Amino acid sequence: MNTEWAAQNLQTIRTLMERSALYRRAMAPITLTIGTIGFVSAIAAIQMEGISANHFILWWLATAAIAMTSALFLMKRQASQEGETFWSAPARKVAQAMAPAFVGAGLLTLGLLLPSSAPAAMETDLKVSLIPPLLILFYGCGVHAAGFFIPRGVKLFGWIFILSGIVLWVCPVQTWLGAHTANAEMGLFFGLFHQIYGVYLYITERKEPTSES
Amino acid sequence: MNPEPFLQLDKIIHEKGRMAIMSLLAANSDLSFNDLKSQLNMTDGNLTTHIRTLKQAGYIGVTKSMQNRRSLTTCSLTDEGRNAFNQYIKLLEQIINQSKT
Repeated sequence: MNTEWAAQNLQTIRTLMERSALYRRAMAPITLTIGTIGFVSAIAAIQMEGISANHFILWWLATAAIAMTSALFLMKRQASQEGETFWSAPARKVAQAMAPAFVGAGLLTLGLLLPSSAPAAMETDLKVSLIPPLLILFYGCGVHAAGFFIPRGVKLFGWIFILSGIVLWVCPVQTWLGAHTANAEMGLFFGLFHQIYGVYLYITERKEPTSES
Repeated sequence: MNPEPFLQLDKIIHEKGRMAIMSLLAANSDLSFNDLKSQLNMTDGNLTTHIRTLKQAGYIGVTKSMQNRRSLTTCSLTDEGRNAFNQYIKLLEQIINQSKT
């Protein structure tokens, strides 16, 4: 009986320590950086008129690559500043949790680069309409999975993306209003929403009031 | 089974809530009251009571500061607290190892 209890306690301690040490202080700057990159990218994409579906896909894949590289850089910087291991056990768990959704989204998006039999104009409209809900939904799944290891509302943030992706799939605003609104949707979700969440993380981290005073 | 390690377990840490607080503080240089509260899903009153007990035992240090006219409470493990926590973990491991032999 004591042995079982001792093992459970040790497991609880290990889990709590792993979960809490995960780049806690880097979350706000990472989210703000991703949001800023997404927002700037959307603004730039909106300025470019008449782009093809493939250009749209490559543009947002490049944006995702820049955002991920920036996030990894910020995580690495925090790890070295605090004397922690960058590729630690908790970091590996988060990466493993996010990987299926992110890899799935990436491969499906790349698959859309393949030529279809539809006329060029229709192909652009179709593909550009499909991508935002698809990426928003998959991204939400990845973020939600990571939320099991990272506190501070990450799971809720994931749910917002999942539900929004489904809504956009069922009610494709970008199809009704025109394919150009797809860039605005991407900017809203991968830009503005991240910036808002980043500001929330920043405020709650630095200016937390307490009822214990 | 030798009951000795079990009897040596620190009674202050040997409580679910306080053990969780010590675990989080062992993994972070410091944590705010709200960080602890959100990560452990504890009520203000419950967390305050546990923090007070740990502070009285000399296991954690509590720093209060003002930011934007609001109070910010930050907790961190003391050297004594870290030693006690390490000892607690060693005893748990000892209990588990005893059963294997």
